[in-house]
Amino acid sequence: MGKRIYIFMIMALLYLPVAIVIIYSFNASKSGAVWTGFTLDWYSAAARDGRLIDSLLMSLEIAFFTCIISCVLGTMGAVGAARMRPRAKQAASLFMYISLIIPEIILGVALLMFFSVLNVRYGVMTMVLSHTTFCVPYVFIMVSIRLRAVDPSFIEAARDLGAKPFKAFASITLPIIMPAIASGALISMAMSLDDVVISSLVSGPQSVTLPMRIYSMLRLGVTPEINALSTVLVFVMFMLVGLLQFVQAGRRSERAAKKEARNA
Amino acid sequence: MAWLKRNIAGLPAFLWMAVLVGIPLIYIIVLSFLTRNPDGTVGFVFTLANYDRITDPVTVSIFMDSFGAALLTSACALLIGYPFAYFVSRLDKKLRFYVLVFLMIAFWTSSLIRTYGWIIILQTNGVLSGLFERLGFIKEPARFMYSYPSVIAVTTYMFLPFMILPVYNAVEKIDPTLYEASYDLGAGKVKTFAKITLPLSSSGIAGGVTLVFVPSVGLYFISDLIGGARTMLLGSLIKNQMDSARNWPFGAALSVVMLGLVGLFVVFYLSLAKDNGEGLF
Repeated sequence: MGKRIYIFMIMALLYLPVAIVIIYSFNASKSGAVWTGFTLDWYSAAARDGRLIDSLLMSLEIAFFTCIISCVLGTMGAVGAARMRPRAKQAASLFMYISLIIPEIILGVALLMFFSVLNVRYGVMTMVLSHTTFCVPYVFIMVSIRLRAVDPSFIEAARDLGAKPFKAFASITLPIIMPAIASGALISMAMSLDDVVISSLVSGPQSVTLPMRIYSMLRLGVTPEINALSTVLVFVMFMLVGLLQFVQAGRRSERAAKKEARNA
Repeated sequence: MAWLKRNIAGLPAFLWMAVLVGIPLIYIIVLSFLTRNPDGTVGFVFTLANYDRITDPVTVSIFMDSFGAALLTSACALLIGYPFAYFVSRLDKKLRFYVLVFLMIAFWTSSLIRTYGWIIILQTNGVLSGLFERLGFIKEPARFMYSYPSVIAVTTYMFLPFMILPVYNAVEKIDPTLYEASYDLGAGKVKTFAKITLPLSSSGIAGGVTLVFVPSVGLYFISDLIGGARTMLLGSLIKNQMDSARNWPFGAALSVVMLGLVGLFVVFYLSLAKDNGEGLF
């Protein structure tokens, strides 16, 4: 029983700050923790704020391009790595893992310096380039793990039956790795929508994404509009992640079924 | 030609990463040996002054504080996360699934917004202060922010799932017949834990510690928002060099040293572990 209480308490603690943000987005009082009544004013205030809407649209635009480019590159990388000679493959995966654990601030600093020496104009493009750079390794790793489930004899059979390599890939490999690509897409989108550290380094003065806007508002103090906006962002993320869990739950039950079939 | 045919599919991704990770990292190493012109631009004159400045007591203490904070965060996350992961692995299948799903959702929820939630809780006249006042612990509105412990607490909170997931993956894989054998041979609960569970989950611990440690060294918005100006950590120092102080070569040198130290740490920990965090996905 004590174990369950412990699990419950930690879970409650994990959700506490999010719950607080959501609850206070409906609080009529402008400041402090005192509940003075229910209101939707902060939502309409946030919706009327043109700069916030611009930031939201910019975030969505960046997330959209990041998601597509990361998925294409990450998937091609994983499929390509699987075809490489063992040592090249090992080096390639190691490189992806290393990119994954470089602290955000350092990747941001390195990219900023690099863009500056190339004289690239900062803006949506530099942010898409940077976001894609930290998303590709995630897609790569997820697809690589999934690729291990592809039985090479199926591909051989398809080739024996006269399928061209691309046809064999599209009709055998692709359906199997599709859930991993979908998960990678959702994670890329979630990470792009969430990023503050790298964006604020490589954005330039004109381009402000939603998390950057929220961050600069937070530094000036807490206002209920941020709660309203955050609540909207949280729900978008919940939907993305909920969808992701749905995709992965399917995968998990599939794996469990396979395990049972083997044991039987 | 055969080489190209074999590697063509992977080429775009690895070229992309080489150009946008490899070259920039090499460039910051170069930049860290250059000088800063009085107008804030970079002068192409070789110097070691940036590294010399890192040995300055103020900078050294920022390094110590940041790595200390990251170690403390990892330790706290381990103390809280290990029992959690262990207990979850003992739950029945259905409940375990829901706990893991909700853990993942919390994990992917915007860290900025979760930090903001803590600000509402910890600020002067905040939720915690109000609660304590009502309970009679304090008489006047109090503030629980702008201190070192509050930064550690919120960072631990933020990275807890990074600890829980690898540990869970390791604990879950332990063959239950080993426990039975241990009990049959007369070992108690504590002994079984020390001789079976702990050694067999060491790869999960090493993976979790790495995943918590690395991002908490470089994190800057938690220390900035929760710690305020009083707690200057490495992330904020580097960020300052990039914008307000505009000393890019010094910022580059700080990044190089930080990356080197983090790299050493990761190599050390991952040599203890075979699980490289794959469990996160």
